[in-house]
Amino acid sequence: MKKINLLVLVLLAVFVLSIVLTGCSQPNKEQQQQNGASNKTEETKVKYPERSINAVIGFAAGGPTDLIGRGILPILQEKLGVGIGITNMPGASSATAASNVLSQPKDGYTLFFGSEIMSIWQTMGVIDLNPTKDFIPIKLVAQAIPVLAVPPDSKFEKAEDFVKYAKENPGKLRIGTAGPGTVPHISGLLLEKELGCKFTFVPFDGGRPAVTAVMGGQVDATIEMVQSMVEAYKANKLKILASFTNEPISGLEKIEPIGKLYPALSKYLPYGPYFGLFAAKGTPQDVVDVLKSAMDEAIKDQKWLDYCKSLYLVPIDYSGDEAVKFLNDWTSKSAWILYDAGGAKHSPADFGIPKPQQ
Amino acid sequence: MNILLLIYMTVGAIIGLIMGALPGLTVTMTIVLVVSLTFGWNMVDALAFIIGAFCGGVMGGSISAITLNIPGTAAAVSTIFDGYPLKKRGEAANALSIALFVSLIGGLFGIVFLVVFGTLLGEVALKFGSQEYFLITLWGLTLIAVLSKGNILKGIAATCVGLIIAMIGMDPITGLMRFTFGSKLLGGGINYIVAMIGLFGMKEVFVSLSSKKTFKIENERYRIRDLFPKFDIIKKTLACMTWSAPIGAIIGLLPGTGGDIGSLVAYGFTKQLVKNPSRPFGEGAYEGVAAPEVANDAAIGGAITTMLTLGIPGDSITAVILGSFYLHGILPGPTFMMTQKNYFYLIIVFLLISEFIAYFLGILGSNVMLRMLSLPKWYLIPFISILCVVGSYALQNNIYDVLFMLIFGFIGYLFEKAGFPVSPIVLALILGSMIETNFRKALIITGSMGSLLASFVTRPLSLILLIIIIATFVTQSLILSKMEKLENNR
Repeated sequence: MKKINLLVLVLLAVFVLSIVLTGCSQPNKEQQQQNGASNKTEETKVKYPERSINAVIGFAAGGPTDLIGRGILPILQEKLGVGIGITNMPGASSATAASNVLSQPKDGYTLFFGSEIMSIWQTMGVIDLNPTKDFIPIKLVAQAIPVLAVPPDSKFEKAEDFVKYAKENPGKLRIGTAGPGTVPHISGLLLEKELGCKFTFVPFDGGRPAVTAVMGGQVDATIEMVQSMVEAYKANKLKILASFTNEPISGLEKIEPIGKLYPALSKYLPYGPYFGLFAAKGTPQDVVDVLKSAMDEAIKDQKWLDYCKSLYLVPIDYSGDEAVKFLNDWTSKSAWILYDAGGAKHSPADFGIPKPQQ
Repeated sequence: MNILLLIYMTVGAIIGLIMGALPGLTVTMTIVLVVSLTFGWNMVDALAFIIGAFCGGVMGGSISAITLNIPGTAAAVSTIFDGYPLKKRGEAANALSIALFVSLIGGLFGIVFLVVFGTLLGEVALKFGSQEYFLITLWGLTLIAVLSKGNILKGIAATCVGLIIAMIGMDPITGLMRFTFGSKLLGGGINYIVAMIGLFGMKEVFVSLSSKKTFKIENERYRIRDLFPKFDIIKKTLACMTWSAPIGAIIGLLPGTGGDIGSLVAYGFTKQLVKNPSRPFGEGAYEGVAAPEVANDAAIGGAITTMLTLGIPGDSITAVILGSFYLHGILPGPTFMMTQKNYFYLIIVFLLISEFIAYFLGILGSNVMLRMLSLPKWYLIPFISILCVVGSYALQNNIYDVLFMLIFGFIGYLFEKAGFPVSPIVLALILGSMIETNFRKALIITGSMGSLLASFVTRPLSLILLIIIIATFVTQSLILSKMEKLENNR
């Protein structure tokens, strides 16, 4: 008898705790209703923000998305005057985090700090969510620059040699990437598509292992963001052949932009992952406006600009319709390159993603 | 100024110890918390805090592994294998004293390693390709022999269950979904820490609920003096430290593998090299506690070496620390030792001091933990259940992880009742995805099965590892058959 009591007690404790835990992450209902009521009656600006905001990042701490989020959000926090808590919710290519954000009340107190991975959710069959149809981009803040690097003792000195060899020996060159469907992978597919060469892609578990592999000569080349290669590049532990841009990277002018070498690529460039703050679709416009104007100030802050410079990030400033256009453009480019190369699970057309304009 | 830095390290170590001891709150998360806390600080202060938390966290993981049978961190999994049996025998204080003391030794060894070989060995990490990772992790699977506790068939069965669970979720090579049955919940795969909390911690709750025996060891007495190392016990473990510390440091050095793999490998080596352990492994051998604990602390030095010399994190913890370097505008890399010498020495000094602070705090913490263990069952069981729930939730802030944890707790209970060991499941979960992805990557890199097999022999490091694997199988099976003969003769 006692045994059963104890079992019931424990199960109850576990149950109550689970409920409390879910409860914690949801603001209480009354407050929401109050917010709604004040919306209707006053019809002026909502009082936002009144309490601290939770920003969800869909990757583990220490990754590029997390680093950029932790660079800009504390500055936004200063501008808004309320605390911003950062929650890392890694897993399933950020899909867990995104669906969590969408399940919360759409009051601007739970925001999503997203990255380019959002653009390939649908085509890769991760989750049926679209960066512009299910989210409102508040501000896209930065873009990173992928570069093509080879081991220090590689026989390739120039991107032209590399491409020429790849054309003559299809499938011989092995390119390390951060995983299937990631920007480095798509960048490589882009080279295949437009320049008519063929590579063998070796997916690593994230960008840094791919960089290690190229430094140690385990692969013939790696495409990865410039900031995780720059120190090794300066110390001649790897050679960077080209950047996926039309213009040289400021501070690293020696690296040739691939758009200059191959004009056929230039319409896709600069092709780099984007990072930005998103709210769930359905968040009141007033709230979005408050966030946007605070973000306007934050991205002009010198601290943020210095931060971008030290990490070789390109600070960008897209919000509103401009951001939507940028995102749709980006999504259609990546989705179709992936699909055409046979790397996608679904056709982008199934989700109404148009082919990129030629 | 200096006093302040000491205080930062102490506070960091306290936070680290507590979070490290709580299951699910990993050292990585501790560092994330500390990094975001110190965002606005100057680099030196922040560094003191972060390193304190790092050392404390690694130390803390073993406390709950030994006392509660829940590894506080993944790196403490192998501490359970012999640590918990020791506790069951009423030697919790002894086990803790070994664990803490050798952690200190391991940590110090890691620092020496960093200082002496730092620049040299950073390069070694680059020589490890997919073939080598595959072989190391494959070798790790030989541990099931000792984890099976006598019944090797059941052990292999449990390992297979673990390997299948490790395959759930997105295929790391092609990005397609496997074994998810169309469910989004399974899309991200099963986090092995969640499984670990369920299989060890929650299972223990279910088991003790179903038995009439009390949870605590009756009349266990200890004095705080017992938590300090005893010379005769430490002497027994000296031999295994000589190889476990370098193993830990070198595996810590490799990007992508940290204290978790390091301690597993050290445990495996010790199991093979120590012919006459104080007790059979898996039943409370002192060597079995010492080896993984030395290794996981030595891994700190190794991981920091790679981070500073190559700008590549040696494990997930240093990945976050690297992030904080970036936040403060310092980019570690091959030139770091020359250009940022002062930071290099600061880090070493902080590590040294933090190791000692963490050690003494660890003794205090274990004291508290042991006192709690003497509480009656009806306080302890809800407490452990709460720890399991909070831990599995906090890991990824995902409520479904709590569900998975409960399911694994139940699976663990069924396995235990059926006489199957549960540790091989966790082992397979940790190693499974690494074995699979590295094998497939090696296959892609070499191009064909034939050239992959050839590369195992032609790559020097692979060849060494291959010889170790073959030697393991040959010697172990010979010993096994000899032992059987002896028993038959009796």
